[in-house]
Amino acid sequence: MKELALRSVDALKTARVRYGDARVVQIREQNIHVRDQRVQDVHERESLGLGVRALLGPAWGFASMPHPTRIGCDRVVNEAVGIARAGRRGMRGTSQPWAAEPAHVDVYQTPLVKDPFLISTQRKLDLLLAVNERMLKTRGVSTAAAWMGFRREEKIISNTEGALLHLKLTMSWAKAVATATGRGEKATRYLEATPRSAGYEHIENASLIEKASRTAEEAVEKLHARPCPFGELDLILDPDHLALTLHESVGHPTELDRVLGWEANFAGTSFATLDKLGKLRYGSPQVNLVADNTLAGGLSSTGYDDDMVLCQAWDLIREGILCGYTTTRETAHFIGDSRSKGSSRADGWNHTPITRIPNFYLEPGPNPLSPEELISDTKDGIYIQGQGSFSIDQRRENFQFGGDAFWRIKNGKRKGMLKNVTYQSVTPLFWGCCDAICDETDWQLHGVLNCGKGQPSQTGRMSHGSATSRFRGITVGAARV
Amino acid sequence: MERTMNATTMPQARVGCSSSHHALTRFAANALTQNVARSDQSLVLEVARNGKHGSAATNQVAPSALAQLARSAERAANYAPKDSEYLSPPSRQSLDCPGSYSPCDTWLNPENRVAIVSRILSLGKRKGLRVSGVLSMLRESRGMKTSKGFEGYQRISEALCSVSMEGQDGSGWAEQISSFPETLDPIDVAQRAMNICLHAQRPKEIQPGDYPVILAPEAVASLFAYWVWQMDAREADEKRSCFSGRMGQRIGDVRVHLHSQPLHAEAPGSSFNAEGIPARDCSWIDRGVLKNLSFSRFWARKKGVRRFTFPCNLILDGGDGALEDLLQGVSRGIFITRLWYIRMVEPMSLTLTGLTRDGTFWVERGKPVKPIRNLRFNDSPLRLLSQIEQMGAPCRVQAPLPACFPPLSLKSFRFTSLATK
Repeated sequence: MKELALRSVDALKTARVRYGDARVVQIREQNIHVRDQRVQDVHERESLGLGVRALLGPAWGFASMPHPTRIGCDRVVNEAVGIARAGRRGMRGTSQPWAAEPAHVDVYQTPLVKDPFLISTQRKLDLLLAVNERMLKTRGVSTAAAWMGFRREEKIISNTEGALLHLKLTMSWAKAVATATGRGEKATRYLEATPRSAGYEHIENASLIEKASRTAEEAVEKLHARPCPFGELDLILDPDHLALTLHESVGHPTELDRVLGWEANFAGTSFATLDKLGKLRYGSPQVNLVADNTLAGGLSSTGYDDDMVLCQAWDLIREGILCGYTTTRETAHFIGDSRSKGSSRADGWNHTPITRIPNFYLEPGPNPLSPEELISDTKDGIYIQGQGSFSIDQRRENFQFGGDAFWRIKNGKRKGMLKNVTYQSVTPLFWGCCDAICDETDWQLHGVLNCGKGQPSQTGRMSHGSATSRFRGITVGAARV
Repeated sequence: MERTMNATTMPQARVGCSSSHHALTRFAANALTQNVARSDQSLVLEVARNGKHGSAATNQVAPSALAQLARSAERAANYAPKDSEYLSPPSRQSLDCPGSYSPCDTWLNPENRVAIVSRILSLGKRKGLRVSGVLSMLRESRGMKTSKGFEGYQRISEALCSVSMEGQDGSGWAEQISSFPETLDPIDVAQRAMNICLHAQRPKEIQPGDYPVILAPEAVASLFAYWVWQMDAREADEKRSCFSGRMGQRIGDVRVHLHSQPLHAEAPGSSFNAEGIPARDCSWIDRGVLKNLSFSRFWARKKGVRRFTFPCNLILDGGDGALEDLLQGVSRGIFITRLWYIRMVEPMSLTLTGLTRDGTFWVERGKPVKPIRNLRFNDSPLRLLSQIEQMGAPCRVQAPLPACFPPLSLKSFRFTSLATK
């Protein structure tokens, strides 16, 4: 792998590109799926390939090929340079700055205790089938399924500036669902070991078997629950739910490529425009959001990004004010930064890197506060756990989110489950309504596996952390389901 | 595929292969932003013995890689307990679908793409607009072979041009997708996007509520994408689907004919699916009545269904009129060019939510009279099927499957909030 990457970079230098890099990536995945005590699938996938980027003047070229050979490397480099050359001829203009970065030579690998690819498939199956069995034994559950997935991405990246990185990244996750049906309706409830940069120990520590029965009981309770009321209520959102809310309403609008209009045709733009940096009140004063690609267990904690920039931490929102964007070496200069924040990532070897949401988190509240204390302090509200329906406009302002499980709160007490709860708001108004955040003992990190962006479409992976938080006076039930 | 099949010692095997080349130029904010050529290939091997099955995939084709692929699949199968629903691979038949491929390679050449993108950018820049979009071409070959003699092979080509233009206070969008790259007209796409954008400036607010709408074909297709994912017969039979108990019932206007047609001229479909089920002409809804759902081989056998298929493409028949003709028939309503971020809200009623985007207009007496701000909807395509006023001429549109949809005018569509811009 290393020889192929270095050979490609030598060829890029010979072609006198302004910048070039080569990534040789080997991906190994295992996915296991059981349903109703049947093993639906045990699947292993491997993929090896080379991706080469070339920058000539202002124009990029990218080419890729599976199972590269020496001759193949030369062909891919020639193709990437040829594409960049075609772009330069057709798009005369001044070269944009390319943010400087030291030429790192390093090795990074995900810290883990138990390599999931050394754990027997039988052991994994036994766990999934046990979770599945407990769910199915719950009276009222009509079907149940469980999944487990592991991914290892090993890559060698080198560039024309002399950097050389060897990254070995491992991710583990598991998920189970119980479905209850009756009276022409169905209700689901999910249980998971959130996707995490970790080994099999993460799956073992998730206590999935212990939690399976309770999860299934909640599916049944949800089926018979009252529907979502309509009106303005206080919402208490758990860290699993907030991960997706954070992702959609903060992560995407602060991607600088979207702010610049580079996703206008597909994923959309952003309301958080450059003129608002340092000024926009994005949330209440207790809202502090920190990007951190060094977070333990974060899916974007990869040592370096695909621009070969060292992973780092920075503020996105401080005391409710927009104060940062997610940048790459290509975009950093648009906000006057001399260095990229290091969030340029490609989905495997056959995609070119694009700006990606980093790991980021909502800082926990400074004072001791537990979710139960927060519920006790709420007169009229809904407590939401987990993720459900989510939709947001292309500028990332008007949104409607659901969830996985919902409890009505009256006078500080849970008063039974609700179903089909949706809430609607506008991003800065919503974050402006945040009046309480639980303390660090409740803080959790949740992984996002399927962030779609780019043309051709790429899937990104990152993690978002928070403690249970309260949002005052949010509109619920406008979907009228 | 033959070599892969020979690499395993298991008695039952299914090999799927694909090879693709994708070339794409992306532009945004009046400049070229991305220009790529991507090649890939994959081999998937599923093996089974005595109902114990497992699978593995690779993009390597060297003999050692094929041997490793076989060992991985066999290892997975050996670990798996016996699967009561496993069926041996499909047996002897040979399938090909010649109608979905064009040898035209115009858009594979980066210089051709850049030249056209330059013209598209010039069009918008002359009007002071910010132009974004993509011009791409995909070529793919797919094959499948089983130990019981099934062989399927298909080549597809697909060209796409999508253009957005943004003004000070509004945007427009247009798109064309085709299996036949020679029919792609990127300049026409750009001009349509530009016209919508120029008319979309300074949008006015209207209050959310129920309004008559005219949906462009692309907007209709995006609503029906969720339909595809609800078509599973087993989900319906086990009372987990919006179609549970509705087979044979009228679920929409008598003019609704939703069907699949593998050899459709504009949107040819896959000739077989991953299970080896052959594509066939099939009406899913005929004269407004739910006629068929999609079966797996296992569920078809369990239910004793002998003739079944899967949605290889999705065609909603319509009338002859153009979009403009539909607009003329509307006294007041909202014209929607594009819908965005559609998500399921409640699966049993197929209630979806999403927003309008890139050109939403108030229509009076047959004409768009003013742009309006984007709106969020919460509604169900199941309900909308009985709200049809007029159906225009179908055209090829982007969807999870090859698809042709007409523009529709509907008596009502439920908007629940206003987007900020």
